[in-house]
Formats: sequence, structure tokens, C-alpha cells
Amino acid sequence: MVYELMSLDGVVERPDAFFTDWDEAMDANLAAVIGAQDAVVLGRRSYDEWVAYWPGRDSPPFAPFITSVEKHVVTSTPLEGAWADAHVIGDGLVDAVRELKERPGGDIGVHASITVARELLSAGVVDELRLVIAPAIAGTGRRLLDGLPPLRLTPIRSTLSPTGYLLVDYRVGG
Amino acid sequence: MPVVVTMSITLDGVGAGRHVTLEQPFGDLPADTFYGWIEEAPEENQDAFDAIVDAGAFVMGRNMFGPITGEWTGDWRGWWGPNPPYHAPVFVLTHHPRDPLTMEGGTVFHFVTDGIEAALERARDAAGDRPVHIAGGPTTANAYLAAGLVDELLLNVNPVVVGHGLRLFDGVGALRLEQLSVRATPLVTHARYRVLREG
Repeated sequence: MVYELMSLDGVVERPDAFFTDWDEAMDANLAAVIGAQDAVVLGRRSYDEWVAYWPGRDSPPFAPFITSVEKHVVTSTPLEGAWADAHVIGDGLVDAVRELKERPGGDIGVHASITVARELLSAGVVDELRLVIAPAIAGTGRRLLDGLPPLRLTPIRSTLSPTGYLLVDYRVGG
Repeated sequence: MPVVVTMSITLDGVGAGRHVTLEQPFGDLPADTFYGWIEEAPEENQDAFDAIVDAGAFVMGRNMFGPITGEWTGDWRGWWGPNPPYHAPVFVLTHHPRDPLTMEGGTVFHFVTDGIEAALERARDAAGDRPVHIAGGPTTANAYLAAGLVDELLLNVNPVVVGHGLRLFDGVGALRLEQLSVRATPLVTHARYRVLREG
């Protein structure tokens, strides 16, 4: 399951630049998303940013989740930082995720980690895409849905949060 | 009255393909990528289609009007048959003058050669107290957005990623928006935004 914070023009890099509000519906949405996950796959950049930020913080729901959840990090160099249960995926991201999917258990989450999300979407191993779309055009920054092959999606849900952010969930596949 | 960009786009923001031809109004992407929802589920989406054409006047780019480039030759009258769905004046941006084209049902195509601001001014005058819709395509919508001339966006977002084509918002820069409404149907999400002026 890929969960991303996106601008209306599709940018997912540095969402703090266009996410100017965070309301209770967005919080409840995030809690539901991560509540179903028992593993996450992260790119190295997201890992490094988060391992420098989250340990020692206790703001629910994300801080306790990311601290305790099983983390698989795509990287070619050893991990640094203070997180337990962090594992390295060297090469073969897609195969590694396929293996994770075969285990029993909850959802596998991809948060931020643009390169990872794109590679998994391109390989057809993503089942759900959950977006929070800000009412803003970022203008610059990396887009999630660039460089992908054509994909059919099926809308599952689309609601508006009180501060005007679109919570939209898709199943990947027609 | 508001100036509204109305576009049907894909989830990756594409509003048309490239290389429009007589056979392919949306270029190298099929029309149902963008408007399949009105063909396949007309009842649940009729309101949204009506909203697209509910304006006092329209502005559209030349590529949206037709596949002909350069001087006007022949008698091209648009993609929409003898009675287009606009039922109001439509101002077509072009570098090549042509006499107005009166269609059935109240649609009149006017050909404007002196730029996007002049076209919008004429559309505002024609619309009176009703909205002006910037009907597309993406290049025209982006020109108006970049110029700060748009008050609202009325988007129909199709659940598909196409990976290529002309993208809405390219070259527009940063804009703050306010989401006014959203309605999801199985084939498309209808969303309306107000454009806030600061970046």
C-alpha cells in the first residue's frame, strides 16, 4: 500500500511546503492506514530523514508506529541510526516486496520514498494507492506518478477533510 | 462572475495526448481516457457534464477546436456536430483570422487573434452575469492559470495513469487553492477548487 501526501499537480517531494493544515480527519485517515500495516518499505533518503527526526518523539499516531514497525530500507550502504527492527534490502526491491507479500500478516506500507513507490507501481506489486491531496499547486518538485507505465485504477473512496484536503484511495488495477 | 478552468484529466494530471488528428481529437490518447465516464455512466455523471457547459461564454485553444494548423482552409466546424453542447459564444484562440461561425442551438465560434487577455475580455462581455469557462486544452488552461486570470478549477479526475501527454499545471508555478466540493463516482472524481491569489 502506497500512502503519499501530494499536491494537486502531483508533487510529493517536500510536502511540508504545501501541507499548511493537518486536521482530525487527516489524522484519523493516517491512523487507519498505519493501523493496518505491520511492515514498511522505505527509500534511503526517507529513512535518513526520519531516523534523524522521529526517535524520541511521541506524537501519535505516526511516531509510535514508525518506531516500532518492521522497516525494510532500500540502500547499498549500511544503515546508521537508532531504530530497531530496520532491515536492508540491497538489490531486488521488487522480489523482496513480493516475498514480504507472501508472508501472513497486515499491509506493507510505502510512505514518502518516491523512488521506491514508483518502482513498485511500475512493477505492478502495489495493491492500493492512498493519497492525501492538498488544495495547492506546488509548481516544482518530484512527482509520484512520473515515468510510470499506463495503470488502470479503481476508486475505493474519496472524501473531503474539514480543512479542504482530498482523501482518496484507489485499488491498482481495473 | 468567475473564470473557471474546466478539464477532465488523468490522475497523473494529463488533459490531452499529443498529435491531434481528424481521427483523434485527444491525440495519441483515446477520448474515453478523459470522457469515458459520461459515455459509460451518463446518469450518475450527467450533472457533472452539465456543469462543464454551464457558462455564459467559453474560451478554448485552437487545438481543442480542431486539428487544422496554419491558415484556415476548408470548412472545419469543430468536433461537436451541427449543435455543439456550449449553447453560448465560444472564443477560439488562433493566430489566423476567420469569420464567426454560427452553429445550431446558440453556439457561435469567434476566432480571436490578439491573445488570451483579449479573448477573456470578450468572453466576459458576452457572458454578462454568468461564468466564463476556459474549456481547454491543457496548454490554454495553463496559460490562463500562469497569468493569474482564473478564479476556479472544475476538474474531473479519471482513475488512470497514462504516463505521457499534455499536463495541466505545467509551467503554472505554485498556487494556493481552496477545495470547494468533491464527489466520487466509480469512474471519475468531480472536484471544484477556488484559486487563492497568493503563491
